[in-house]
Amino acid sequence: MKRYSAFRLIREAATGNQGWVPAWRTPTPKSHYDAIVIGGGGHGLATAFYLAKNHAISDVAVIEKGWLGGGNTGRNTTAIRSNYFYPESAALYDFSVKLYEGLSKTLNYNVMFSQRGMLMLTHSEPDMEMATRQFNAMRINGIDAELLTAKQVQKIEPMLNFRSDARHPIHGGVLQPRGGTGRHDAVAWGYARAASALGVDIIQNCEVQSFITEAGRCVGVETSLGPIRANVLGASVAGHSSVLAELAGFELPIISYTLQAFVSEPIKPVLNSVVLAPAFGTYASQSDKGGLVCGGGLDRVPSYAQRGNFPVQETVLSGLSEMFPALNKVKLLRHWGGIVDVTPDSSPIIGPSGVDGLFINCGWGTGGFKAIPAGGYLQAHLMATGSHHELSKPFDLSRFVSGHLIDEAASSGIPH
Amino acid sequence: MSSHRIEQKGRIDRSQVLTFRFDGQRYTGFEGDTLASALLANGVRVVARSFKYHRPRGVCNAWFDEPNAIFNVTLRARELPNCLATTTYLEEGMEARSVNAWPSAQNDLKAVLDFAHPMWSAGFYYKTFMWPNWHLFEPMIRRLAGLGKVSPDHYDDYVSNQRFAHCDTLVVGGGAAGIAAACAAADAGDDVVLVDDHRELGGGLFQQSEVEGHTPEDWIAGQRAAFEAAGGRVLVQTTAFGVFDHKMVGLVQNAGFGRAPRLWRMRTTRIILATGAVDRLMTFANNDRPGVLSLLGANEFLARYGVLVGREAVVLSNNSAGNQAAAVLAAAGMSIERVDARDANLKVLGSTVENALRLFDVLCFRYY
Ligand SMILES: Cc1cc2nc3c(=O)[nH]c(=O)nc-3n(C[C@H](O)[C@H](O)[C@H](O)COP(=O)(O)OP(=O)(O)OC[C@H]3O[C@@H](n4cnc5c(N)ncnc54)[C@H](O)[C@@H]3O)c2cc1C
Repeated sequence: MKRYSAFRLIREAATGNQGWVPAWRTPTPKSHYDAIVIGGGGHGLATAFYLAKNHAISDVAVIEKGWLGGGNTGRNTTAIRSNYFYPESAALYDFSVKLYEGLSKTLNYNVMFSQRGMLMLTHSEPDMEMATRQFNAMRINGIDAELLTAKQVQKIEPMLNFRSDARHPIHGGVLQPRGGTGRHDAVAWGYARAASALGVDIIQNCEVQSFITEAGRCVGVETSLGPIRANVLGASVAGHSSVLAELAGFELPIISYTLQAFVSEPIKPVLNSVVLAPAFGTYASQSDKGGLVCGGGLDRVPSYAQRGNFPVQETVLSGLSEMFPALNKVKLLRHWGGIVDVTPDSSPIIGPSGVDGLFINCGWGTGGFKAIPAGGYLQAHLMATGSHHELSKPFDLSRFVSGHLIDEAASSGIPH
Repeated sequence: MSSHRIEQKGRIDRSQVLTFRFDGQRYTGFEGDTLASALLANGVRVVARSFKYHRPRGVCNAWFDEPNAIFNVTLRARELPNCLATTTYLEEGMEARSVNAWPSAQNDLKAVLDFAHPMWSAGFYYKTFMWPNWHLFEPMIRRLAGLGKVSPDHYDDYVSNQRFAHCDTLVVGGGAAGIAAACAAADAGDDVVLVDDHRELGGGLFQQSEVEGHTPEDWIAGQRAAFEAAGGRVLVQTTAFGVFDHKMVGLVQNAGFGRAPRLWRMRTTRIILATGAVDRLMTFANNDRPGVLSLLGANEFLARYGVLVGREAVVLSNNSAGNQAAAVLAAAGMSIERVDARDANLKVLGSTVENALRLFDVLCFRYY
């Protein structure tokens, strides 16, 4: 892999930009690999990268039915944070934030992890008590957190509605300073480039249509490009996990919903952090290109249609103009939906699928972009060693049998 | 007023002269003009800079398909960001500023970025700014990006009101096809709503000299009267922006500059899209230079605003459909050199665009 650097940009500029090569190879699939990763989103690509990097397993194929990052990885609002409530989640997500902190250098690809702070607003004394509870939990879990007064919030986000007639006056907030945003496409492309350089075959436009099982063990997949076999398989297909599980003959406690996101026309910088107002069900940040990026709650009915409905759009956008009245003059540029995989306790599922030879990494629902480095790292560990890493153990599918749920729904209250 | 205005042409009211400013400079236009048509009438060529390289850009299309002429506009102490100059109707006292250019679109200091353009090739930012840390570079890059500035003012009355409505048939687009479809459906007894995003129905019809023996205006007025007599409803300045579950169509009705648009939820059983066509940008080097316009845009500026975008033009198309459009421009006094893109070497053409634009005022393209 030819390294990217400022020096290289200058040299290429001087020689007519003739020296660039595609960021990853486009090979024809072989008939057998050591490992197959199904799904070329962030989690799948990261899994392949860590298989090669951490476990020296580079005879790997990533099989993607569309284009890289065309699922939720390319559709999300890119909030990265680890302000979770339970110790298991805090450990998992903070591991991911730490990997993100070094990711640009690990991959030699600028993923633009921007630690501008994740700010959650409170609007009343009881809100503030809940926020304090979250703040305490975060501190106990060893996660950075600050409790803010309204004045301190105003200093970070002066555009917020501090007028006396605000419908939900701002009382204060909790800040995770290390939280922020990343460049979603860059995460997918960076992992793809680095994995490809280590020998991973990235196969796009190739759909897994069924599984090949021999003596109860999964030994490969039938794809739209023919059968491909492997010693071990891992699936990271987010909103389509239940569909894949059905092909493999098992069931998942997952319901798939559409989650929508919105981007405005580019404007000069007005937002400094990622702001979330649970009272309105809206959160927003501003991309480096200048667009306001915002989102809110799930669409109300389960669906596999990657398009949004109007009532949720209205809720999210009226929330945005309540939060930032001066921004209601800004026009929307694009909006879209992605299919997210929601579990009963809003925590992910990582571990053996129940079918021998096949591991699953799914259930990240509305918040798995922030977990891409960790998800890939832990799934690679499982596929390479056959057993859990300490961090992924609590997230095994068996918790829905034993009842050891990690119910983060109550602590977060909103997707992002 | 200027050599760009053609007598008798256009839907503008020449008796009402309006004064406005662009990048600090004072100009005049007429009631019925858009900011873009008024600037073209005044011979203003550079109205914007490109997002990244800050290359000069001119008006390229006449309606929502305009990619360049985006201004911050202030009127009655109310500033709106990123207004499309081609869809913003001129009002007395408007103050328009180019976005992302300093001090003006004509003389933009940030154009120095273009000198080092080989360094900023596609995706360059993924390849650098990693050492020592992205946070060192991000604030500067954020300030360079973005288009218009949003004023922190909160306009209390900038609140959309909403309408819930029903119809049997919704026709989107009020050109010849839309009008015909709407009339036919209304005659058949349907409850019909016809929406168009312009101020008046007609679409591309104003480019015609006559329609079924009438002037376009008379023909449109007659059709509209008959349509309304049959119970049809017309919504102008209204854009259909999405079809949602159970055929609910979202409509946004422009209420004029500085007023929040109205939102309609139109529930319907049939939707007819009659939204016409737009020219697609032809690909050749330097196709973004000021003076390169779509042929449709040039025809619309003439038909709706009486503006001839140039006196001497190259008209480039890859099909014969450009002939009639070019003839209309010629009849208005444009001297035209026709180039068929199927025969032309686009590479050679691209490198001669700069020269062509010295010899000719404009280059109009039509591409299907
Ligand atoms: C609107 C929205 C906003 C979000 N905001 C945030 C946020 O701010 N922060 C955050 O942390 N998370 C957020 N998320 C969640 C986050 O995007 C996902 O959890 C994460 O991207 C999941 O990554 P993945 O690689 O598992 O899945 P995906 O990126 O969806 O990749 C799965 C891939 O599998 C492929 N696939 C599916 N079936 C098959 C098959 N049979 N054969 C081959 N390939 C197949 C798909 O084409 C897809 O490319 C958001 C999600 C959405 C939709």
